[in-house]
Amino acid sequence: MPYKGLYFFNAEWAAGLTEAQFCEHEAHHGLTKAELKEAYKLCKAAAKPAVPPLPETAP
Amino acid sequence: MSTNLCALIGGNTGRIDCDGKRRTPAILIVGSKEFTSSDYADEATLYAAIQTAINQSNGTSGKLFPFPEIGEVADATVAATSGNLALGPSRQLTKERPGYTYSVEIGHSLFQKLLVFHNKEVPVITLDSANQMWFYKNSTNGNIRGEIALITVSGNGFENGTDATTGVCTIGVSYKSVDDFQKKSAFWPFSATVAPGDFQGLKDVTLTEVQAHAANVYKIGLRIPTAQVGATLNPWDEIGAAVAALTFTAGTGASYGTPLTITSVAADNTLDCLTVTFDSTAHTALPALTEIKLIPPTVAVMAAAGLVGYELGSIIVSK
Repeated sequence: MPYKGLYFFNAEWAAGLTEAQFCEHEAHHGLTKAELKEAYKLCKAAAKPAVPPLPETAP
Repeated sequence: MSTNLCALIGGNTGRIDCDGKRRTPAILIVGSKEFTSSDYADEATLYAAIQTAINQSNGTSGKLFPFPEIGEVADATVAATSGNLALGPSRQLTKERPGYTYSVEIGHSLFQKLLVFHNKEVPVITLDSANQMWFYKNSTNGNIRGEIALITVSGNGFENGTDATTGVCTIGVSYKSVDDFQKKSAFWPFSATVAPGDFQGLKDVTLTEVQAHAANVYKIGLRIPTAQVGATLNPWDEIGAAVAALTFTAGTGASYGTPLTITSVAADNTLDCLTVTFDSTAHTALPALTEIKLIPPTVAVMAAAGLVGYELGSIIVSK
């Protein structure tokens, strides 16, 4: 998941974390808290399937 | 009823107008890629198939390696031998063995790269001065590939100061089968829009740790080695940000088969390097000095992203 053209986050990995965990883990990039939150939101959206899975049919 | 086989000894000899013939070689492309009839359905498709074969990682089956543009050609064909009875006609006893010596003007770094082809028997595709690309054609399935030849690489020594032919790299090409060279050869006539310079080899880019890592965060630079003492090139400005956008993977353990999650790759334009971050929990769990193999995107992935001309090598870093 690209962010600002310089940062490329693993969206699948980020989707399994809370926002706080993601921000703490990626704090070393020099992004502001707001930017990290924005990146996290983008990762969550990118990792979400575009179409919800079909419900299982009863046997 | 015939009493001789004369009618069966030959074939028709009608001339094909505007037929091609071997002209002066301009560039060699070496490698095992075989093109099917679908690949040569038209010029654009064949051209794309050749470029795809060039833009593959080292070790990929069918990868093609363009050689530098040829500066001079010498015919090194071993002559046929003939003999005759005292009162009889001259008969050819052995066929000639086609061979050529090409002189190319290249730097020492590329010369050292070409040396890996020395004394190797490889398929050789030749683009000549008439833009005809020469292949071996399989008459059973119609596939085309390079003509098998033994390559030698030598020269690139000191010049003598008086003769321009000294100090150049000499590439010898001796074709393995004269019958294949003569009877199985086929050419594709590329249009004038195609030139030898369109077929370029890749530069090897090594990954290097530019400074000690901080926990799970590693600083990985790009370097192109050269033959000049103390000089490595840094292609960061050309390809750094684009490389950061592509997918890296990492592994540890036997054959580095245990994946280690990379959580982010960022472009560090201060240090001109990549900031590669591993999952901190997984990284912390690794014993000290564990070797981690960082695997960059392949040439094919890079080419698909418009990044051509480079191959990134993997790097082993130590926790």
